[in-house]
Amino acid sequence: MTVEATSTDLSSHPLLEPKGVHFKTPAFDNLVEVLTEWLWGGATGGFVFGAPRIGKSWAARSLTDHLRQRDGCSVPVFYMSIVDRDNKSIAEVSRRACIDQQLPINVRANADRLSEQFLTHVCDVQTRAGLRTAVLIVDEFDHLTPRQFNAFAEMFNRLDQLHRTMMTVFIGNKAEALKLLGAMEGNEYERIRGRFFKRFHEYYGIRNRGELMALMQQYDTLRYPENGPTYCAAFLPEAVNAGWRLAGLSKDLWRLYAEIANACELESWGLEYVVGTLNVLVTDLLPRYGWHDVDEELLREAVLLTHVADDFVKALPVEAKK
Amino acid sequence: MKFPVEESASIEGVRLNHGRSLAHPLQSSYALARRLIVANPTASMAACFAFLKKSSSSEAVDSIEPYLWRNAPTDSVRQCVFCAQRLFHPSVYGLPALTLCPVHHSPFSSHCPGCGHAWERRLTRRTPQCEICGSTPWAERGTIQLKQRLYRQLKWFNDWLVNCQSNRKAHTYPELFDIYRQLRPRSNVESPRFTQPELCHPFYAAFESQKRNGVANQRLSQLHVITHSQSLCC
Repeated sequence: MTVEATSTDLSSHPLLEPKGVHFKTPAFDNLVEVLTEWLWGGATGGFVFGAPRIGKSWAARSLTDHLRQRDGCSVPVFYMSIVDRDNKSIAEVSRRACIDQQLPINVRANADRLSEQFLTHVCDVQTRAGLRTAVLIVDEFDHLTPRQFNAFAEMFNRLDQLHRTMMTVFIGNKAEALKLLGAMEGNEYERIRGRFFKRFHEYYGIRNRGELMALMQQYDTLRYPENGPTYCAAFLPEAVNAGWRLAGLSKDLWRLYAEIANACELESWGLEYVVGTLNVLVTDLLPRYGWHDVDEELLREAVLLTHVADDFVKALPVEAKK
Repeated sequence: MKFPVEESASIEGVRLNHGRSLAHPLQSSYALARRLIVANPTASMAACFAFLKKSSSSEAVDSIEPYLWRNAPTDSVRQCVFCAQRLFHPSVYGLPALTLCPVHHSPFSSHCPGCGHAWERRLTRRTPQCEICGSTPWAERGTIQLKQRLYRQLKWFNDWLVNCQSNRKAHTYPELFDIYRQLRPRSNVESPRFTQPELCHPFYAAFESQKRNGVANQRLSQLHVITHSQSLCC
């Protein structure tokens, strides 16, 4: 096989596409487990928080077909993402819900009509699934105002009138989310707290070597196309034929990341950065610089290339002081 | 009313609701159109009708409706007030043979008593809002389904009519007119012509039932369908 032919074949490889692969992580499996527990327990809602860029939104969007009832029926999952707008009205929540489900919105439509449109969609999907329950994922909920949570309470009540339920799971960045929740301590929000904030879960990225290894093993086992070579074999065919596996680098890679994480006070390795590091290793650095004796500096470079340790905003005052 | 039904799709980049949670096992195309309009309160009427044209094949209307299209003298909709509140309208409601609503035993009308407009007006305009012919109040949407027994009865009537229509094409027995022509083949005098009642004739069901020795009379009477107690046999 010529080099040209190889490059042509690899041009559509999922590792070369931004967010082309959905890797399973222990944190995601844990999230599925927690949400399933909430669902089976009849929870009306809860919230999930975590540091930025650790893969919360990715996990939220991947929940479809993962949440199941006790009898194995897949529970419909609706995803909506809150955006920061000047108009922080209750109607805006329903409008956003409609937009994210690609439902029609009308400039003149009021909150009732918009919420009716969205909830009819929910009922439709529930009817098609033969269920009376669903899960609504509200991403970036830290952009909401305390008053806007009433929109979700109303949605729950309106579905309850039809003997249907919808568990609302709010997902947001830890710092902003906790700040918002702190502002909702008063008695006037007790109704909202009781409904949505009784249960919570913290989402993490990769936290230890075992989790990193589990992720790296997927590069050694996943195939593209379905009957084609593994992800590693596509870019490093000789290495894989010689018995080399990417997961074998997990020990060194984790040690190097731990050094960087200690220096930069990182709690966990965000999925975006881990996948970025592994992708650049598999697709670029290892094929170019060799896989026999992988230099520590090469691994460090792969980690730092994703800018995991960079925070220019924090660095600015230091520069100013100089 | 005639509304073509095809495969579902999104319209101009937006997805419209099918309103499956509001669906009944039997539905006319009027009921389907109204359901789509009710299920999509933020969509324009044009989008709803475009969606209706592309609606899924699973959204089939009653099997008797195509026969009604051929025979219906008018496009106006006959509807029961109480069924209208439940978004229920099977095609058989368009038959003059049906004297009262088989579900609520109330008379049919061509106009909504709430707003005074014809039932089909709701398919062109959302205003004025009317809880009878317009959008069903949200709280009542959980109770729009009828008893299964009623659906079964109406389904039987629908199927019975389809069966009658199918057999009508296949019949080989002589009619009175055929016999008369055999007796006086060259006569130019006006013949006492006998024609069978068409589907939209008030006595259609009675006639078809009597052709089968009136075995369906009792079930038809329970549904408020006009029947005839005398046999057609001489």
